[in-house]
Amino acid sequence: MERAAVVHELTAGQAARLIRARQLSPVELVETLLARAADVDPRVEAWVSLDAAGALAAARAAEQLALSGAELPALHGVPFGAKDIFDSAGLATAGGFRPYAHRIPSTDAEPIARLKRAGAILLGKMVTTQFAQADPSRTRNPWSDERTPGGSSSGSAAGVAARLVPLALGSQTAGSVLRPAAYNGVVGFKPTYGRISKRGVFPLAWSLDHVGILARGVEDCGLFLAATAGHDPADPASANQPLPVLDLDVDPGAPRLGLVREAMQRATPRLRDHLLQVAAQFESAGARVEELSLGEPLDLILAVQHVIQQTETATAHWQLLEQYSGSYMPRLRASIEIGRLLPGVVYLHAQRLRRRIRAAVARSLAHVDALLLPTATDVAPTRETTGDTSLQAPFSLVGFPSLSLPSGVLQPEGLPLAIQLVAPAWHEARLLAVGRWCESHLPSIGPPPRFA
Amino acid sequence: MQPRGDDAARLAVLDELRRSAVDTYGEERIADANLEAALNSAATAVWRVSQEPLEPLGNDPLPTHG
Repeated sequence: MERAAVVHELTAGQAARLIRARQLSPVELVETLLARAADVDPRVEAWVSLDAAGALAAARAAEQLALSGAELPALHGVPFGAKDIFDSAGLATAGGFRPYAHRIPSTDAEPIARLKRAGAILLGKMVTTQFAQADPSRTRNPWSDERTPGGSSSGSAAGVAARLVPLALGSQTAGSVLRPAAYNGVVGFKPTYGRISKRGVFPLAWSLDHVGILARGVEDCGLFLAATAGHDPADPASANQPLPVLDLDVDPGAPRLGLVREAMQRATPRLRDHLLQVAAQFESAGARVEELSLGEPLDLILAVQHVIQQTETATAHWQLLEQYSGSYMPRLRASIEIGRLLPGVVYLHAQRLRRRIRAAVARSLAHVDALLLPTATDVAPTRETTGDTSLQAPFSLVGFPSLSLPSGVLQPEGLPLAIQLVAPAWHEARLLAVGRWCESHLPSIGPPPRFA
Repeated sequence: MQPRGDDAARLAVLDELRRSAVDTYGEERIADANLEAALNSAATAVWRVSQEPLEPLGNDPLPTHG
């Protein structure tokens, strides 16, 4: 039945099952996506580069293995893209920074290496805002040329939305996985801080940077997590925690959800109305929804996040900026310049406050399965910005896993709407189970009409 | 973050940060709109963080996510 789907519409899970059943050739899948890139990408500009030769060679090898009857890994033959801040062996990795245009790493970033070990095939590198910061990229939102695709994982989100690839690696320091997911009508997932190794990924702010994924279903987020999670002693931020036990085939039952008061106050009236409508839908399907508070003022949470991110970004970049000031994008350059001037005591005060905030958010999650809030304050804004991070950043600050699901399309604008779910640290299995339940009670918004 | 223009303490932080920026980068650079925006948002964040009391001799100066 799944084989009846158009090949470029397949999710990673669907493609993997068909390949395992020998109903789909990895070569056909890669060739289809390469042809689609030639046809569609000039209108989206999601890809920085495609590794056609490498991907086809990997697909031929995957096909041989599939035909041999060998046991196949979970993502065998499934293509993926990687934001261009993930090192890729033999492929330029520039992070949107011109002086690095010909920087060719000799090894893969650990998340890419682990996805390859799970059988996935790297199709190419996807557009990022420069060094994953806030200056808009060239990528277009497949739902509207006038709107931003968000950032910083612009190409990853727009590419998954335009059916250029089923799965794409992204990263989130404030809101760079979930917000582009929301603006482009796809699923975005960021596991707990430390769950996935960042070895070989350009840093923006060390204590806030997370690896995440853009996909077209919750199942694919589980496949990504299973492939990439786990301690990496070579990454100082990688945590040695037991791996999550994922069983997405088990019906999790209707969840208890905490509707976040501060987020509802921050969202635009139309997003607030949409969330209330979605909450009512979930309640009528058996979920229990109660309003709750994060336990600390949102303006304090965002101020703490701002001080930490700006100071760490300045620390990571100031020497490079002195060397290449003319190559930095204007907002990133200004942020680094001002970040260098922030007092050390304020940074450490913010880090201490962060612990208090983290404990408060954990308490607010004690009696629910997940928090429920809008992913973004509104639909995608126009292109001079990458959008508002204020509803994603709190969960980057506390390091808790978060998931964005498409939840409708705003009419007559024709722009995607999205909800966000958040679980306590290390509870990705719970988050994805709740996500699966919510996904099954939300309408499928389908592809952007121009790319259907 | 919304600027709080009427708050004297925030303006004092902004003044101090601006002076430091002028000393470091010069008047011409400070006239840049992106730098001005970064100054303003940083001043608001620094002011808000500094306002929040914590036990002075408490421990844990660094975050952990464990």
